[in-house]
Amino acid sequence: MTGSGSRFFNGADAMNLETIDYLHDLHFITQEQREKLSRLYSKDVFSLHYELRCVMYIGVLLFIAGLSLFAYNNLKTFGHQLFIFMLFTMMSSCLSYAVAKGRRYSNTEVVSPGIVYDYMLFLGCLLFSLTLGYAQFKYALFDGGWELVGLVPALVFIPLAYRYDHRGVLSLGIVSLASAIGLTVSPVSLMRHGFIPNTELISVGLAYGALLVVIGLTSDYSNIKKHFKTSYIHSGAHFLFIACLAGLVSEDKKLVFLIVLSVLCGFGAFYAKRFHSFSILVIVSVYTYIGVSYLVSRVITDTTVQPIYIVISFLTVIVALLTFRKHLSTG
Amino acid sequence: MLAYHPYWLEASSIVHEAKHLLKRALITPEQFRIIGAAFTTPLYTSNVLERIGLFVFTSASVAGIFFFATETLADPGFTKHYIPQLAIGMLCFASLELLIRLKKVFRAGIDDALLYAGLVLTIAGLLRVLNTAFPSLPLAVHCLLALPFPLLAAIRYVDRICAAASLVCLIAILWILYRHEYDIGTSLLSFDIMLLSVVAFFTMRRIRSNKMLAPWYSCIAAIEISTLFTFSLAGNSFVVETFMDSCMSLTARAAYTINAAPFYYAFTLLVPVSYVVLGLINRDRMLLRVGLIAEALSLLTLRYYVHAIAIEHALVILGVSLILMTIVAIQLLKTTRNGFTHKKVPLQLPENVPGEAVVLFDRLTAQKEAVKAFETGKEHIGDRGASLGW
Repeated sequence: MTGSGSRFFNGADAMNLETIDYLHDLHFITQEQREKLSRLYSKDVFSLHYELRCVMYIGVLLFIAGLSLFAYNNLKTFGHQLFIFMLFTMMSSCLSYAVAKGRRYSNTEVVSPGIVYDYMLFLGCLLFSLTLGYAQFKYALFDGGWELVGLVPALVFIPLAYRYDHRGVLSLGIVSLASAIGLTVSPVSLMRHGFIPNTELISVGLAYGALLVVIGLTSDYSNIKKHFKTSYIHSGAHFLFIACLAGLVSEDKKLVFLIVLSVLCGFGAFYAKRFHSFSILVIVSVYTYIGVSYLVSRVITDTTVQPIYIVISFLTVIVALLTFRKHLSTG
Repeated sequence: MLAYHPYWLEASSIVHEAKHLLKRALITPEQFRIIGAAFTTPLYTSNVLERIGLFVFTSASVAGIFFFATETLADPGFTKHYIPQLAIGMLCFASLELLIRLKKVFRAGIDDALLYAGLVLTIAGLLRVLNTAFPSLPLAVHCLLALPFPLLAAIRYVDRICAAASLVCLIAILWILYRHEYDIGTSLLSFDIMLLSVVAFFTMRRIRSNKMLAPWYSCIAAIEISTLFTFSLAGNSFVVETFMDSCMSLTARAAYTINAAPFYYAFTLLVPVSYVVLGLINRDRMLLRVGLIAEALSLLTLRYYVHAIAIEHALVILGVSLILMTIVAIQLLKTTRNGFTHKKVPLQLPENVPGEAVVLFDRLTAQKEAVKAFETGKEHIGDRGASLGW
């Protein structure tokens, strides 16, 4: 008997041989499968796939964090051309490796050639961003146009993600494009000055979110990299809802944003039901709850009534989630 | 004692494992469908995101009720603050029992939130009552009184966090005894925690194969993982020195620095490595993964004491080392060596799997009847459920 939580530490070993025998006794698995599964779970063959993947990922993150910190701390003391040359060499080595090992393009999901390939492509893209940012800072490559430092990587990453079928690189591309059109958040300024959105930024956020959702749906219907849909839809949903909430909080036309929020909520619920997506259901519930509660808190100012609202509203959300989930499971 | 019928837990576990096998293409979708149809369970279990969402919403509801109750029920001076605490704690447990009986919620987020809120509020309320009645009650007694709650919760609701919390509670009792109650050699504390961890670990390893305890396998695993962490942290030089600084005299601290510090430094560095090595030798994934996390903590401790190089250099060197280590390991394991491989699915699905599996429904029908009897109040043990010691 196993639990899902202990799977992280136990991995595949969590399933015991007794269960395999039990499934075989019930003729749910064949003798051949039983023997192979027994071999697998008796640890005759011990896979280190996830451990190696995890170590590699941490290594890439530490390396890129160290390089970025090095660049930041040594801006005036290090040979810039030498540093850019080093970054460029490393970047081209990583990308060359990915190009050499990459499999042929296909509209469907392409199985990755291996762990090293996945992370070399990812590291190459991160190094590309770092090189470009450093070159822009030192030599003003784009003549002070910092938005191009976001746009150029996006224009490189998104095609690369499609060509080499890499969701991590696609996410980098989506984020880079968002930064290029001005959708950035600086934690320090957020802490110092709070959230100061403006109408243009909100409109851009809504448009960008809608674009991502449309691309996601199109990739699903056109069968071009169908598995990228989740990345597009999730990013799009976050952009749409955050922009909508920003409008609701900061703009005067609250009714307009309330209508937008309702439309988004309805579309999200429809999408969740259509594609059996629990994650979208949770995203929709959380953002809609925040928006509605913000409006209610402006109406109900009595501190003794507010806890009652909190309790009733949360219970309503829980019941709604459970009911909707039931529909999703049966639908 | 158990809030759920063992058959439900077992069926849920088997379907969960079958899903995992399907993901790894070790069984066919048809086989998964048949297994799912055979092991139906009324348990309502959520996926991770949904569970987090429901947990947050339920916790917020309980917090809202608590806030409302303290505002309206407690006396103006808040001298009887424990009344709403106890009342809401009990309400949480009552709601949890009701939800389990009516909706069969299991690891769905709602039950987790109700359980933890119920435990925290009940324990806090009871301790407040005790503190008011007996102000001079030692702190260790408080912990001792709190200990049965997570333990019983772990047993009844098969909750892993409660199981791990019981161990932490035991360690807290030890710590309080050393720190507050008796002024005895504080340097012995880490050895006592190590001893406790070792005893608990091997006890759990011994009992995990007991079929009677099968429904609590995840709780046993949670305690094992906790003991591995407590063992390595008990000898971690940063943890030990922080404790020493808080409760030792300067002379004793100086004596520790001269005599014991090298031992703790060696312990900090060697224990995580030995976890990883033992994990690989014994093919024990739990030891291996805890070892990797403990190794990261050990490196952080090392960085805390040694500043020979700048942080950016340390990050680059560590990052490159990890990348190179992984590449070398993958190259070495390209062909399976001593049973180790870097591949995700080491065994492929046999090509000729029959499209239709034959289902032996007899045993399952017997089990389902037993479950029905349980639901109608006549507790009867099913065939395989019998082995679980209901």
